[in-house]
Amino acid sequence: MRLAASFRDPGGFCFALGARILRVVNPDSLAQVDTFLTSAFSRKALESRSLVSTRRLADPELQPLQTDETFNAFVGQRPFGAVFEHEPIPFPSFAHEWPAEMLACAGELTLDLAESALGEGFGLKDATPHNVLFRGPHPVFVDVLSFERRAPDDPVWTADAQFQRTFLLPLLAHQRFGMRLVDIFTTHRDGLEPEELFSLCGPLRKLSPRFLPLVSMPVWLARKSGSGEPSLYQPRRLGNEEKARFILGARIKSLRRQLQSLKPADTRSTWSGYMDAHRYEPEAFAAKEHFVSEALRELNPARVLDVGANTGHFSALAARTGAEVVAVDRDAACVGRIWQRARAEALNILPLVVDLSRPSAALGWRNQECPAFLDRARGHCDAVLMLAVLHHLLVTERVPLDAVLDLAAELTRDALVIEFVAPQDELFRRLARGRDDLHANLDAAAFEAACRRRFRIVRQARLGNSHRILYLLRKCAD
Amino acid sequence: MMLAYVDPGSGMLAWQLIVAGFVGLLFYLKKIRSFFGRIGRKMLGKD
Repeated sequence: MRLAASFRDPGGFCFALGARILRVVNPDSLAQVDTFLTSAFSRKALESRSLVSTRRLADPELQPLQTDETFNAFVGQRPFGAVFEHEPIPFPSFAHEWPAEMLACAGELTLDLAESALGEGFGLKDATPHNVLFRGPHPVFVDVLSFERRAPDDPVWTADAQFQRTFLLPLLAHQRFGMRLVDIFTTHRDGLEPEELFSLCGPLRKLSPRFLPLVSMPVWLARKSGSGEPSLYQPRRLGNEEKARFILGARIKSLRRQLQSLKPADTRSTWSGYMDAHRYEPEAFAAKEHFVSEALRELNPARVLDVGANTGHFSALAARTGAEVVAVDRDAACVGRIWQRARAEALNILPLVVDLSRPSAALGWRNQECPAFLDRARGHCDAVLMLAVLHHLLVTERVPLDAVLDLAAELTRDALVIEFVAPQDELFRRLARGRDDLHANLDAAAFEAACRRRFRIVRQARLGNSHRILYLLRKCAD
Repeated sequence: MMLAYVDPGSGMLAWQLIVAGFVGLLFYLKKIRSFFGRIGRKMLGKD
């Protein structure tokens, strides 16, 4: 399939050929890409791993590709300049799945690259989260076609407005109006327009230091210029390179300050304090940690999916065993904390805001720009952790037990560590809100019988005196 | 509605140009300051 948003670029496009990620560059853009990739700036960005590793395929490598059916389906008879191969990013994710912390981090990377590129006469022609993926908790800029030679006396960054729309305004909306990034980016490919926030502001807010430059001034100026002065879009040349660099440098610094001020503070939510105030007795929690650690040691999984990860306690446990972890939770504040922790402790965890009962759908043109979460996750991991999450799916989301286990069996390649929470459990009863009869037939025996239809029960352990039992399951051979 | 035809990006670009104009002035102010700074240092015999 063609990859996210790559079909829009007139310079070329990306596609997956098995596990390989190839980028076809059109003849017109080839010289630009070659110049960029041989620049000292790109070499430095590649070394620091902030730019996706990229190499041009030599003719002997191209020949076998040209007889490949999939390659020909994408490239067809169209003339192309060259084919480049990128390092595959293990689990692609998109802005609608990121907490505010990750969006701000992607914005910082974009500004860092835009600033460093200026030094060597390159510029970023677009500035959108679509150019960034995350390798664990670290952002990687993946679109080498975004860099172009710029006129040294041009004082305008053409991607400035896009940077504001796709980074600053969504973060502002999130910070000041509590808008969820998932809602913004699911419905707005190119971020928010100032008008959308302007209509939500009262008179005082419109004049506040945060809204005035980002929202109010652009709206007032747009209204004043009516249908848009064509002269506004004329390229600007100062005839003075030093002055142009000074203006651009100051502009990027100003955007960086704005981004800094919009970074989320320590946000709290209903669930972000769950691990501190969880309902486990100390010995039950210790038993849970022991069980999961033992299971991870035994399985030694290369990739783990932690569903309902909360603040990432068990994701961290898995990452410390050397696994590459994708940690998902519906609560963006929790996911933000996982990201901060993964960065601070150098853990290979990719945290994403995903609600398993309403996972991210396929988005974009023909629903092909951003594949659905489940399509990316299915079979990606050797082990899936579903700790203290089953009762939420059963009770709050009313998903039948068999359907939950079916999905778990689809997601994992091998093992599932799952916590069974009996209807007598205090939290289960709280969620059930008196509808206890709906789960009258659910007990450990019924749960185990349902598991056995898809998995082999390796072992189980009751957590202290609680109504919770942990299971290590392995998939039955099909 | 007239507003429906307003390019939403035009305000951001116009604002960027206004800010660029001010920063351009700062550029000259900085030049003037460093010019007088150099003269001052020369007069004080520090160069």
